[in-house]
Amino acid sequence: MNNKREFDSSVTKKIDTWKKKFPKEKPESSIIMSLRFIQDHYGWLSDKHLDMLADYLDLAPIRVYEVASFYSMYHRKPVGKYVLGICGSISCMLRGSEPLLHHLETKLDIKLGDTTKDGLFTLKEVECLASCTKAPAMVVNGTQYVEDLTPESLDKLVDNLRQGEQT
Amino acid sequence: MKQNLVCYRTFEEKSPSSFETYKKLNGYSTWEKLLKGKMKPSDVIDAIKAAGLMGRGGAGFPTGLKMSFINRDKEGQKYLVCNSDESEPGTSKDRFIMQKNPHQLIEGMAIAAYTMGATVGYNYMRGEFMTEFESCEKALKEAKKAGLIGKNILGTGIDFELINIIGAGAYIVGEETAMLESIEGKRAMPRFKPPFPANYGLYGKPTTVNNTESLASIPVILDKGPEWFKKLGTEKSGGTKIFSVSGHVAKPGVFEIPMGTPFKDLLELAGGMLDSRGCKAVIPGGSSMKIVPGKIMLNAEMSYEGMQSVGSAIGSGGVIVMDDRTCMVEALACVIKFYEDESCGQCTPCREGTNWLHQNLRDILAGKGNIKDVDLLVEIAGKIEGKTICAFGEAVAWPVQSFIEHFRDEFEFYCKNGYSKVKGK
Amino acid sequence: MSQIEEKITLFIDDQCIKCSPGTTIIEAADSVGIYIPRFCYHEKLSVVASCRMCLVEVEKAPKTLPACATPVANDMHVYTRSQKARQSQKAVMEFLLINHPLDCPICDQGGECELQDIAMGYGEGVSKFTKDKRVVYDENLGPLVETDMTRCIHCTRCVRFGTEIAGIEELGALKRGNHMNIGTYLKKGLKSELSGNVIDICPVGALTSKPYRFHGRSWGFSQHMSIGPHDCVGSNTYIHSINNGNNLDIMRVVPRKNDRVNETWLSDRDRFSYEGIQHKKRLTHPLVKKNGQWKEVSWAHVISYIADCLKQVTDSKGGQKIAALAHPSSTCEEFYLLQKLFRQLGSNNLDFRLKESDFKDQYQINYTTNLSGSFEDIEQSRCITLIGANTRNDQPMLNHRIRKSVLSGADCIRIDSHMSPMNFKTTHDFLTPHDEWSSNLAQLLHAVLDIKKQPVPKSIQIHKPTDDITKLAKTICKHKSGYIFVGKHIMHHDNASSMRAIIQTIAKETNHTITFISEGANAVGGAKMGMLPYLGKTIGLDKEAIFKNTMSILWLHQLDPEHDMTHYTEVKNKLEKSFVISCNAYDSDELRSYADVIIPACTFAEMSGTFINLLGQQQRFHAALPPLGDSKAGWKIIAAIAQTMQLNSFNYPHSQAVVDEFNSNHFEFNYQENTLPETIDNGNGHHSWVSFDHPFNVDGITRHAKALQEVAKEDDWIIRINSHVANYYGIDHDGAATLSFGTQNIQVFVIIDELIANKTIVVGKEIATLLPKNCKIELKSNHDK
Repeated sequence: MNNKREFDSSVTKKIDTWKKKFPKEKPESSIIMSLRFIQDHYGWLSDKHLDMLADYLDLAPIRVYEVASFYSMYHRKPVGKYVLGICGSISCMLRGSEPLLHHLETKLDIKLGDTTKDGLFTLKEVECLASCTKAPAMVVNGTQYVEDLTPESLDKLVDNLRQGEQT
Repeated sequence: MKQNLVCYRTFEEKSPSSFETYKKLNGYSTWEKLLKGKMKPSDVIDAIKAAGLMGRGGAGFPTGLKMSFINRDKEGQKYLVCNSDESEPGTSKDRFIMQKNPHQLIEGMAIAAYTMGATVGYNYMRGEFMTEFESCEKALKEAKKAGLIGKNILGTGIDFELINIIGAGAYIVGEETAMLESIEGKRAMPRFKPPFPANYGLYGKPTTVNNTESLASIPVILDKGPEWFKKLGTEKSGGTKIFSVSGHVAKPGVFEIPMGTPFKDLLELAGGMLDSRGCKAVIPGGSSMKIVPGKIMLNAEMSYEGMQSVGSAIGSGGVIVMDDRTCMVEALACVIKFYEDESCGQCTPCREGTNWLHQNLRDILAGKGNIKDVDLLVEIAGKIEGKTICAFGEAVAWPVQSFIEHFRDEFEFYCKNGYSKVKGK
Repeated sequence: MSQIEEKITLFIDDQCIKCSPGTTIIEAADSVGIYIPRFCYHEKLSVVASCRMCLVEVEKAPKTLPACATPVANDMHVYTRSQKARQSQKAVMEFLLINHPLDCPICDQGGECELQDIAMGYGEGVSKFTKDKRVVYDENLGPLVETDMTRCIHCTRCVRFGTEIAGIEELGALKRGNHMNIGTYLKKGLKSELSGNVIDICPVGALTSKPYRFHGRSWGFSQHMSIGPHDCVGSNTYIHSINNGNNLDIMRVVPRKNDRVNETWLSDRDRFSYEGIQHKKRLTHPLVKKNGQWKEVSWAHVISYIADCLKQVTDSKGGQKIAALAHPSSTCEEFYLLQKLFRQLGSNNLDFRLKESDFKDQYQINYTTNLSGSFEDIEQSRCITLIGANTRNDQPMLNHRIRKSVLSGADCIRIDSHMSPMNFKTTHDFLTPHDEWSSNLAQLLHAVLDIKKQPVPKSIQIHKPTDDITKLAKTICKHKSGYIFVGKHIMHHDNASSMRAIIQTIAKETNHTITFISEGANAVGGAKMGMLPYLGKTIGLDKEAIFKNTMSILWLHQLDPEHDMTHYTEVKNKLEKSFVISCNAYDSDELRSYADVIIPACTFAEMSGTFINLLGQQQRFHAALPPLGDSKAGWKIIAAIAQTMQLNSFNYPHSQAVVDEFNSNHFEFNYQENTLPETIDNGNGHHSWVSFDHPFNVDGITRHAKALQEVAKEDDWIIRINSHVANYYGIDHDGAATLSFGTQNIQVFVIIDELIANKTIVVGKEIATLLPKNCKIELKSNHDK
């Protein structure tokens, strides 16, 4: 077969560095972080990406598929540029995360799980973020915490992100 | 009340996470003592046992005893794993150690690893903790530069490689054998025990998994002495504990306080009840632990034995406070939805039972409940409890059982009338 | 090793049991016949303890424990049916059923479903679950395995089977929690020669047989012991049939456990070939060609007609003008009587080596006592060398044993002109051009002799070993014993005799056991029954010589020369000049074009018979089905002809009488010392083509099995070459191409495959039948401008 597909070199460089954290004979240990590098670069994880990673790490593709479908931070479908993950677990729920979620649905004019037409925002509910003492909390794109949320602070966040796109 | 004596002891300093700050507080002195042979590995274990340190992740297993399960003189690779997956709802404590006192965690890991003969240690952080990961990486770099971590440390021939890694979103990774599977790059499915990690752990090698707070406590215990540490707490619960107080309190926050502190004092630290409402109920140790009615909690003390006496447990120290406006049916549904989302799916009772419980609760909330559903919830919980590979089964069952035990009337009311007894129509 | 093992004594349901340390409760219980319900546990797979069905009460344990994962201990008291145990089992059963569709009335597993059985025995009878059930999308696992994933109970047996037994990582657990499902990333189906076994191990109706779908219900089946008829392992099987009014219809074939042969597994070929057995192309009446027209005739007529023809020819021209060729999957009874008939008629022109062409060394080859020891011994071997043998394709259950030895650390070396991916890691894969086999094997011998510090014979000296070959030799010589399996790519080669001689010398020098893997189900039986030209008082013609001469009468037994022989154009030419009697199970236009008499024969499933496998195990089987139409067992037909001709002692009341006779009547094999050839062919440096024999095309039965053919036909028009060869022809990617030979052009599909040797072109079945022997071929991509 001569139809080679390759990752961007910035991605493979990161994967290669990460691989060094594990014993040489255990390439599968780097699947989890490699998927994140790929997702960070390409926005989401397509079947093609998973096949390519399996090939790159010399593993059976099913091993990569199993992992990619298990952990909740991976996107197996295209998502917006900003994925807003509102925590819905108990501490945030007690502090009013549900009305906030509805507020965002209205503000963005989408339902939970959907992406705005302009491709900017995807709205998700996530489980406990360990931000319970600063509830309600959310993460933007998985790792940027925004805490002590109010409808006003959410509006400002969304507006700022939108504005940032226009300039 | 004295706060921040152990894991959070750098927090009041100017630049709490820096190497210099930590050194100023006598940091790395124990590690150096150990390296220079002024202290023996067995001394470390004895001290930790004497200090009465128990696993701070939730299970409360004596840390010293756990460390002694590994035969340090046995040939071959051994591993230490630090469980920084902090995911138990209501718990938000370890991330601050990593943000503001990472060196103490590094020293704690180095000491624990050397004590058990492990030359490699992984610090596994949950996927969202990029800030914490970077802070740990920065500290690690400093420690390596100072020659305290790496190969042939300070010329002693002792090696310790510390490796920070980060997950991708799965509560179950917090279960120690699921964490090992995850480090191996697999789906985080807890392993059947025996064999225990001390015999068959990461990559099949002897391994110990400890919680962040437990490991970060070790340098202070050894520096100030086990007696000092033990005396901070009660007879049965040595030392301090970090509590993250969330929910309906005026000033939610994280507090490192002595074991045995009365709950009402902790509540006061958190600014008292939000809007001065009544305290209806408290989950004292993260959402997997049993809920306790407020009036009982107000007379309880925060220690292993104190929480046991009110029918719950200190767990991870995630104190979730609910005021009298809280609908217990809604609260339980929220807790159970979490477990349904996070079940790994391998054991039949957990995979099927969490879904069943949640479907039932959703139907009750939708006004489609039946009075029989209340008993059914308890029955399903009982059928999950004790029948799964890991403790997740109990983590699902206990909230159901305790919520209904204490607030059955609210559940029955919802089933009968189709709306919340607390919130009305 | 010979330490006396301390036994552990425990009590299960108050029964005292002694077993070895490390045994699990479920194993201990099984050993005394105490049944503990289970789903995820399977004796041949790793333990995951996840279904929780086998929870039992163990005294002093606070919780019930999984019997599959809990090791026994001294004085342990286990209760499998106590109230506590029953409570746990009932709870798990209820959970398993809440998302199970309970569509038993339309499920093929109904009646033999572990979930159904255990639910009856251990369940509650009613469920309190009233919510919506989970729905799971089905996977397309190819033409053999059907999926109904909504029925899946997540035991993961199929996933573990794939990884641990089949060596294919294609199935996995996807998603998590309540959404977890068993799936594959493949869009095309399972690529395993053992895929059908997932049907057996699936405890519910999630994975079922596609060909068998909706055809029958297991409780109405009759079960007959039988033997897999397609390879030299002789897997033990059951044939299941059902009474459909007048007839018994074959429903399916499943493995019959025999740890000495196939354990609990079965190859897809042995499992799914049954579709060919009651095929509409089966011959049901004797046929005779008169003036170019075929006429149905009676048995009495055809027997006396054949007897007359044989008598006429042998009387006038002598026995040497008649010959018999039989398929290597014929039964011992057929082989034995066929050679007995022909020898009595004065002919020793007998053969079953249909695809071979070089018999110069036939006195030096042991065709009968092949593999000594047992299949289990192979698992213990530390070194296995496969020369021209694709055991994964051709002898899947033998390959399974080899795989086990490799998994436990054995070296496996492959030397071949064309390979396909293995389901284990080999130590070396050495590719030799089809034309340069002899020279490469000579180099290997050279390297071995160097390592062993033995003198190198003159004919070998010029073949200086390359570094790669020295590496192979070093690995082989590292082991004081091992197995060398020689496969059909050697046996079918034009230079097979010198190649075999070299390999025999290598085996002798290294003390490794050499095995020529026999073809079909019964080539060892063929040899033992005397179906070889040199076992009579005078030496007859071998298959090659039979076709060099022109026979007056040619008996073809259960074979289709266009498939079962090579270079059919040349063969057909001779067939047209002979009077051909074909004793065959299947009709075809091709058969009618060259044959003069067609006798409808039974397949193995409709007669009793005996196969002798590679180990020399004689395995007898009986008819599972009545003969189709007027077809008759081959041995009966031969005996009837002989009796009509009034030949001596052909009066057999039953097939056992034939067996008794051949078992007391051994042929003498006088082997000659192996001798190295005086010169060794270096190859001519040109590209040469070799036919790819798909494992599903080995005999009439498989060629008529629909599902197997769906898989096999994909390869019919395929050409495989490596990138060097592709480059030579200006081809740079997979795709359609034109193949030319002589003045002809044919359309083919080229796949670039680095497991093909240099200068070697591997051609699919349909292409091979068109190509004359040693013809030169050209390739051109269709995408050129």
